[in-house]
Amino acid sequence: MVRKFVIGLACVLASLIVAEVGFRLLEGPLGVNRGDLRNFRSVLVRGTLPNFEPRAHTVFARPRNVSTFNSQGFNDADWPVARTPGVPRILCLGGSTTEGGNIEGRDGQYPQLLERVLERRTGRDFEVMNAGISGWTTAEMLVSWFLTLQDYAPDVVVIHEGVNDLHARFRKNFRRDYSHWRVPLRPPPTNSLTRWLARWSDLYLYQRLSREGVPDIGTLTTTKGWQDEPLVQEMRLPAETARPFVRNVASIAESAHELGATVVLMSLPTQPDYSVSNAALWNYGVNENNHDLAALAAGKGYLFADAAGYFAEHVELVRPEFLDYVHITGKGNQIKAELVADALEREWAGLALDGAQEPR
Amino acid sequence: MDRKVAITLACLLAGPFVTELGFRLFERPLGVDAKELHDFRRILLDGTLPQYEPRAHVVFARPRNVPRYNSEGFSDAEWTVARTPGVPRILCVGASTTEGGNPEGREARYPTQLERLLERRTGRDFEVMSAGVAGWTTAEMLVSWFLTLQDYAPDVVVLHEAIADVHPRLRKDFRPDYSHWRIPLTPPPTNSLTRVLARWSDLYLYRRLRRDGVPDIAGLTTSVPRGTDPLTREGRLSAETARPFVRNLDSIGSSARAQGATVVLMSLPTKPHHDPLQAFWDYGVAENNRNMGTLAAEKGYVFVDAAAYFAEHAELVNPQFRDYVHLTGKGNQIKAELVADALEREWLPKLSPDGARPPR
Repeated sequence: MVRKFVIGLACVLASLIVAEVGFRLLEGPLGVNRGDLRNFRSVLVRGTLPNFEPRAHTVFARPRNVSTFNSQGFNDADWPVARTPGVPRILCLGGSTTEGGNIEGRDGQYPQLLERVLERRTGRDFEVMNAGISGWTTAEMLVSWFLTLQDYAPDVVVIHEGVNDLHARFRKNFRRDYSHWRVPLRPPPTNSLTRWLARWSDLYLYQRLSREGVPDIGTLTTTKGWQDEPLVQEMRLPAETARPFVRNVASIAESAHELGATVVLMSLPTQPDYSVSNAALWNYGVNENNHDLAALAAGKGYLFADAAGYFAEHVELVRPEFLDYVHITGKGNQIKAELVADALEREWAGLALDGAQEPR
Repeated sequence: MDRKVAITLACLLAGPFVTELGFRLFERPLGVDAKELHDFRRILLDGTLPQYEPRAHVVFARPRNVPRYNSEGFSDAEWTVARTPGVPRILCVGASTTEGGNPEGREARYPTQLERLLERRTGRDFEVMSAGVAGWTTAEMLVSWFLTLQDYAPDVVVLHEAIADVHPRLRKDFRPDYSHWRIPLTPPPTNSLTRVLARWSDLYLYRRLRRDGVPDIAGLTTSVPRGTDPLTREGRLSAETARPFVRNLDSIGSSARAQGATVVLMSLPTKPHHDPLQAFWDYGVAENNRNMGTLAAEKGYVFVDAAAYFAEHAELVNPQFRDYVHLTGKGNQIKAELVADALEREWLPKLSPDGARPPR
């Protein structure tokens, strides 16, 4: 009786191990995405994605001092608070379109390219700080500005976001602080068994991934199962839900302006032939945000780099640079950098030459 | 043989059951705090305390729309964004010393008493909003102002906090956004067994409470201590770690003033004590109070020096302290009088009488 039981148990265990080993051997041929498995394992075992960590006020940021991330959790070199005399400091604040959004690394980000463009045009050194985090809305940008970034006392603040805030507007029961949608980073519920399986079994992870989809920072930090805003079906959004976007940008800009910084607002270009079912809705929202950025800049005297306008006027030139709806190649980001540099060059003639240093 | 096994098993099961039953019968005579058990059960099962809920950006707030709390998660009546013509709006932002801090309820806190005082003194209606949440530092106050409270367009903003911000200063590896200390609301780790025990056994909860202490919102939203600031042993704190407190208040103050509000900063009175181990609390609060006075003088904000008044009238006010910072209703009446006096000098004469209404 006992012997039969032991033999049965051994057979079950052996078959599980064989299935796991077999699956691992066939992962390549089956086209299993190992990055997805690694991310999902990290979510179930550590409670977060490998390239993000939960934060109290900004909800999430990059892990500090890991890989290409600096001690503030941004994808940039480390920043000293102390300024280098004669080196103007420019802070670029935004979501993935500021952080990078392409596989070219830092060399493909518009802030990095902006630094090079300005140095080439002026022959002096500039310090451009990249404070973009993929997935951030203007709410997280605002929190980061007031609790962290304002301490760096930049001479210029470039604000570039126009799409992430739309997610909050797609949900009904809208709240102006986005708390109807944004929640603290919350991994899926687990128990000891699921954590153990997640740690050791690729097959278990693959099965769950096939069923539940790939977790990303967006899904881990937003409510689940809430209904859509009714106007979404008509491909439009309630006008009053656009207000927090403008309020947040205006709050950052006003504070930066009061601290003596020049403020640049840059509109967000979108792929001209975006062809998903609700493309009209996304276009409606981004256009509304871009329009509001322009109106805010005009009303308050901020600089406006109309990247969306430029890209729309040069469709044939820029079309190949789009990687998806909003992310562009390094060549595309070079255009954004040139547009910001143009705006600064026109308006920034009074920049003191005292102590100017050679580009590093 | 089978009978023996069954009897042993029944005894094993009956033992804990009888012990649990016995404990429940004797909870009251043993002086077990039923509320503590209830709170701890909620933490282990739901991941939060009954009177708090996790929130993105402000980390925690009061639960919305449950008795005592309004739909924004504050301990106040429901607020409307639309203003009542002729009714000046005063917003009190702070922590427990604004929210209440005593068992006498809303009637005893300073914002409610301020409304009554102003109405009695002027014969017109005022709307005083209490936006205090116990445990908030100026970081959470700031985030709440920019993402929620500024939309209510108050005529006056009263800022009153000076002690919660001392906590992050006691820790080493200080960060100006307090992220070395403040973390998203994190309940103690559980597994299936601990959740079953927490659900059904008061005795289990009682034993854990005895060992781990009573969890509170501060313990759930701050990191495990990794050493204290070396200066704490000397009863003082690093000067540079005082800066974020001033920066946060100034960010709120500048924004409120830009929107046309009168800004009032009120210092925090503390109960005199003779405990040398608590010297850094006195040091930190006194430094914050002093910095508020300086900020008000520099920026032209109204400064209500409640700390100085209480220090000068020690015999009168000392009986009103319930602990180091919390006051009885009578003590809060003094704070309300001090704010009303300042407003009577600095703001009421400028207030338009147009559309004034009698108090409700």
